[in-house]
Amino acid sequence: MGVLAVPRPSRLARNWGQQFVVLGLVGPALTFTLAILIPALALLLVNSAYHVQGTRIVKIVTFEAYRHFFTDRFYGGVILQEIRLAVVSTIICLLIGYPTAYAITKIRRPTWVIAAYILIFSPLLTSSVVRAYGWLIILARGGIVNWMLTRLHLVDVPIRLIYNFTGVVIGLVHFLLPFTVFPMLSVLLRMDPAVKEAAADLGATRLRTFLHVTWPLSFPGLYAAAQLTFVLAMNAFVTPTLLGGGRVLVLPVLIYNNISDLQWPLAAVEAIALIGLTWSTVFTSNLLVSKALRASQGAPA
Amino acid sequence: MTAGRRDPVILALYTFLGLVGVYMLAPLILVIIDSFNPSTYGQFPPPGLTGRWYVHSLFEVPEFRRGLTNSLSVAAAATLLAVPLGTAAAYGLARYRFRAREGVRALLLLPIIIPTVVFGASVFLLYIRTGLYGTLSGMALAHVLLGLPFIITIVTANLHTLGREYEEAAMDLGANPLTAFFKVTVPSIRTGLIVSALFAFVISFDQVDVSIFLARPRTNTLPIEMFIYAENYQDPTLSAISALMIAFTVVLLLLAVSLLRTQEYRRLIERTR
Amino acid sequence: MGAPDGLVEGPSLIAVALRHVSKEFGKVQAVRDVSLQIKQNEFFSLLGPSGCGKTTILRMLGGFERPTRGEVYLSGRLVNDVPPYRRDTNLIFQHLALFPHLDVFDNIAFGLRMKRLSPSVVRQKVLKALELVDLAGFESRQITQLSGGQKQRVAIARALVNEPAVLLLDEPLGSLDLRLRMQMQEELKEIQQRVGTTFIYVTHDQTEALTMSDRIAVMQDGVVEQVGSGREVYETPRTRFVATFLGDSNLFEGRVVAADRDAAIVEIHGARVRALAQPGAQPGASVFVSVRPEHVRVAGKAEVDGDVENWWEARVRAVTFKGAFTEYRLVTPTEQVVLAHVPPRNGTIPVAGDQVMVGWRTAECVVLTE
Repeated sequence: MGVLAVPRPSRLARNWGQQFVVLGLVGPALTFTLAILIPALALLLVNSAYHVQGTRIVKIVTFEAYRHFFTDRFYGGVILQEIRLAVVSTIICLLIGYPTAYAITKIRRPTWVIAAYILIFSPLLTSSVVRAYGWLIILARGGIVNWMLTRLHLVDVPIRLIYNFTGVVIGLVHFLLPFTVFPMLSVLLRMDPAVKEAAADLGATRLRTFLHVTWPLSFPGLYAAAQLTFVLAMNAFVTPTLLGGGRVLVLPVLIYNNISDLQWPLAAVEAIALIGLTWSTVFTSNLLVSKALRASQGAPA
Repeated sequence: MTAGRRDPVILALYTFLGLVGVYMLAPLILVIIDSFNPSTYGQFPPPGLTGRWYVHSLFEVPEFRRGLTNSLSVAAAATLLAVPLGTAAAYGLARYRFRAREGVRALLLLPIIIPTVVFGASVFLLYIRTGLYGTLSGMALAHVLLGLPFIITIVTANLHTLGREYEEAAMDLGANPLTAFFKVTVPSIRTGLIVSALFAFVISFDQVDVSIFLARPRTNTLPIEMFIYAENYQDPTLSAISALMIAFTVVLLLLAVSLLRTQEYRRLIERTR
Repeated sequence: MGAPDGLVEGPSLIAVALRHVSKEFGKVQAVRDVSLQIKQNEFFSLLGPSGCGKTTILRMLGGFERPTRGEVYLSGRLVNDVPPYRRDTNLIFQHLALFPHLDVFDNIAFGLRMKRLSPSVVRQKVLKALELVDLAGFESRQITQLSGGQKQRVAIARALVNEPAVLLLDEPLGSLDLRLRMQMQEELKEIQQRVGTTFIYVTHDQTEALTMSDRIAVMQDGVVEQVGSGREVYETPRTRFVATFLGDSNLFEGRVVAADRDAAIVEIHGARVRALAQPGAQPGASVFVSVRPEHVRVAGKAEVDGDVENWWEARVRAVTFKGAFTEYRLVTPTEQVVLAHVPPRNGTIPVAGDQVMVGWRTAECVVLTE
């Protein structure tokens, strides 16, 4: 057979070649991310252990900030307030978000679908400052809400809607709703219409189809939406600051205040607490849900 | 939807959707109305019409103008850096199998898993040591990290949808991988790249939670200046500047849409050629 | 050097050679120890069900996969490590992969421009290629404006314009409707004869392979079961898989009782059959006997023809009219089910329940040892 023997590059070399390509592609972004993130988080840990004398940070490891954070009842109150805020906002977001997402899936005309998307998602493109400020105007003493309430004689004197828990919730729900709708919408849209048709074909009424088919199938979307909304609510900074007016204290606000006041160790401890709080929520809820799913399906792990 | 219109359930759903839409747009619309309000404390209904807040915000508050310049340069730098970095990483993740792939993906998405304020505070502690604190370039670098996860997610999804076949066809026809990428892949995922760039820009331009830790007064971005102003004053100056920001976002969005459209138009013109 | 694996000899005439090629994806063995030689100007088909490894072989020839073991030669050159863009092959992809952002002209010109040919040469070659596929005047059309058949032609032109030594085709006609597919099959064969390029065609459609190919390799589970002309693989299948994959086949399990140079006598549940001899069919071997339904004669007891060596008694169980032929499902007293495709004829036609004779000739009856 007249085949010319050509020296064959070793297989290893070719594998190495591909590894270099991957490194060249992924490397820059990864290096960039890690070069900033790892030292930054390491410094957070280091600073959390340092000692503060007046407004000076002394580089001695005392863990004083931890002791302060865990013994002062003030911080327990802040965390409870933050969780309450996140839970209330998440529940409201889900109550509004689910019918919203469901309604969008019912629209047939493409132009209206686009219009609905613009309505729900365009606020994402404006700064959180603009949105929070908008609510300050709306909910102010002389704002449109109080004007309408007095005109309708529902109240005699303007009520206070800002610089309190209510105001923060109203602003936060507005900030979070797109993030609630999005995961639910993607699950609802992925749902096979044939399943619903099959249910209808089997004689199920619309209510029964919804209760027995759509609702259980949209559970993963609801869960993802709840998780994302909760985590973002826990991390919100601009909305609680502007609409809370210093009266609604949550960890992100404290972190910023303490960094500004040169209380870096305390800010670092608060930051670590915030990470711990959000990540453990995500972790345990994932664990619970996967366990529940496994139990309901009776499938082995 | 002629059937739907008579259907009370559907009608109720659409009404609800409409109300939610009003809720979502309310702050933006009220900000625009308030920006023409002569009353300093935002009285509703406005007793008249005025343009003086626009004049004030644009010409009498130097912080806003400086903030705008800072914001634009930071956002432009962050976008220019993040889009190529993110696209390359997405290509590596979507087209190659390697052992640490899922780990690498998770690490690249890490910046958005960390609470923004914590990210800001940590980067602040790093920057104060390295001299990047209070610099626009430092801020842009941090914004690159915030934009990368979005770009990588969008472009990876686009590459998966596109599939390998076009690139393989290009290579089959004699294009080396680099040529195949620029001649075939990039034009095919144009939409995704434009959307990514828009995301990267807007994320940077609107950023407060992280930026506020990294800026000195001189390097404050526009949203930070607005945040500080909102904490200290209340008059429609902020409404005027907010209205301008909304207008800018709309312009940016239209620009992105028109970028996509010209491509469509070009195709139409070529068809009639 | 001789011809390994008893394949075709002659160095200069070989366009493609695979020697003991295997490909593994992780733990999946896609191709197992395949050796093939494909001649220049041959229309060669790789035929098999999905997942049989035919596409993997094609992708190894195109340079998109590297063999785990073994060697791939193109025009005598070892190409295991040569990337697609340095190979003298072109591939027509299953979904064609015409670039949607380029028009017909730019699609076809892509490969030529990669070779940095001058614009005038590019233009001349593209127009000639368009003529070849009967699409003259379509150069400024957008891909989205083309019909399915036109897209196929553009894909063929885009590949052939580069004058490859070997053209690889990965089921490119799969998405067309039946009539268009048959028309394109004819055209492909015609183009192949006109340009005189080696075509390697992957398909799971046996009719397609039989219609176009000079030779066919029938594959299953990563293994080439048989290579031969369409007539060979159809009329003398070597394995049970080949017999059943290409068309319908009656398979009877039995044991060889006697064999000479010309024929083997196989006993099938008491009934004897005289079949063509096979090297492995020694007395005592358990084998299968394959008879094509169109070779089975159905006759009344009085009509039995002496020229036909094998006759069995059978009872008609079902009769189905199929247009070009009538299908009979028959059962012998030994519970063997026989399928017969009988062309239309005059006279009395057996109906279900009738006692008849079924028969076939030795030459129409193949012993399968695998």
